[in-house]
Amino acid sequence: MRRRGTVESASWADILAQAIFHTLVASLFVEALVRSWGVREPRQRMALRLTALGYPLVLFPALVALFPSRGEEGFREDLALFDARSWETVRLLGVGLFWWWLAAFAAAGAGLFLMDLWPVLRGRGRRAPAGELPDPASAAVLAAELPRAAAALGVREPPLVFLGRDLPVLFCTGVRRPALVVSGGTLSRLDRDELAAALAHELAHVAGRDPLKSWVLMGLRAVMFWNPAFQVVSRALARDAEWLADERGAAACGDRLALASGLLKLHRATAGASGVPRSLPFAAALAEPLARVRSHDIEVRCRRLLDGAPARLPYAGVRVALAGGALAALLFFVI
Amino acid sequence: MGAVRASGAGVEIARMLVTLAYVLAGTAAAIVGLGALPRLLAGDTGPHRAASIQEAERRLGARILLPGYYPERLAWPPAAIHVAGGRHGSVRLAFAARDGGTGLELVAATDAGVDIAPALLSDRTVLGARPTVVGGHPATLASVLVEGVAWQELSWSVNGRAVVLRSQGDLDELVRIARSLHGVSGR
Repeated sequence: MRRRGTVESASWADILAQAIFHTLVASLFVEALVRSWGVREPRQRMALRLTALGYPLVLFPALVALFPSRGEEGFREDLALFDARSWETVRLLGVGLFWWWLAAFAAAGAGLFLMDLWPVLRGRGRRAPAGELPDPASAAVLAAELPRAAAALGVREPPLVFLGRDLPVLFCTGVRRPALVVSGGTLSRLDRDELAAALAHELAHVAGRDPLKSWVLMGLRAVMFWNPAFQVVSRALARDAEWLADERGAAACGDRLALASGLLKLHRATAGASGVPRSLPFAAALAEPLARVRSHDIEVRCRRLLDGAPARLPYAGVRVALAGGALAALLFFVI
Repeated sequence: MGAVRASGAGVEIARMLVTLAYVLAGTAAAIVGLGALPRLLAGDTGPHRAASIQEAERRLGARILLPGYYPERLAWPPAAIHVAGGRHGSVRLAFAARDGGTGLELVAATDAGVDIAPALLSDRTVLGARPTVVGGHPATLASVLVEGVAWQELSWSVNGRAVVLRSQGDLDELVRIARSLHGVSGR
């Protein structure tokens, strides 16, 4: 009697567990489709990944609100393909595995979120780097390349913040008024073609309003901090955004090889320069794997640039609709 | 040219749908496997809902004890049937009153000398208990609280099979139902 009562009214733990498991299934399902369909074009990959990312934000709350009968015992027994509560029967140290899974997944989600939040929090209090006047040679190079790249991408030339330091720096920043930050170290390391390609890549981020999107994504990640699959898909989406900027930048400058070469040079110059801060627990142990992941990301981006522009698959909209529909139908029976 | 293009589009759509189908089937199979794993690890403890007495008997591989005396005030068939403990496990039948009033619960093992599956016995607080006799067999009559609601609970054995009968109704009715359970001697 007690069990029936607790099961029929889904508790917060049931809903949390369902949201975590649904997002996990959605992200794996979408990843399997991306690989099986051979989706290489970044926009198409992002559209499919957004299906998995949007699932816990839109479809799952709708499922819980519109179909409360899914939580009833009859549904669990007769129709459900999976009932997370069934893991309660397997016990470890006197506690059902349902609770162990829930705690482990929530902790993993929070850990992944904090790993990306930590650098943002560390940077908060620090003043934005003050721009300096570039030396005449640097000013001439930037004055020649920046307007050309901006015109090729169809964006207004953003304000430039020049840093005189030797460390290579190149990124766009700012939500409402994006600016481009570039250092003397970047200009000295890249040749003219590589610089044009790298600037085009950054301007592609500006054109796509990526700084704004990344903050929106960070906000959603904060809401879903307990959901590990959401954190992982968000990271994958950010990687796709980089690939998209690569494609748009390469198309704008017309030299994929120069962009790959520039990426490698900047990566080599910065490898090890911005390690994980030692104040973090296990920082030393984490530093090497993180550096390897970063190197792998750069390698993949270079390979993609050398392979040529990826082809768009036909019926992109239909694929996204099919993926979303199939997911919704499948996960209706997962509680 | 147009026919070739249409055929190419058809092949692409077919490939897309077949890929979707096998990814979906693979995902569903993995989910079902993951759902079945706890039962394999912990043994099939249940409880599981059965749609009918016949289905419950099929799952348990045994006949279920049913009362010969069935008060008019109770609705038939049982409002809920649960089985637990796998083959030759236990069953719980919940009977609802026709007017929505007090009900009756019958929980029983299907094998002699075996305890009732714990999954079918709700947590309860025993307020008081006294020995009694049902059909010549020793029994215990207890007042219990289940989720704050008082029940009269009678527990005894029918041909070695443990039985618990609970009612929120009249005590005489409870005893009469207990005595009428199949197999009880001296009805």
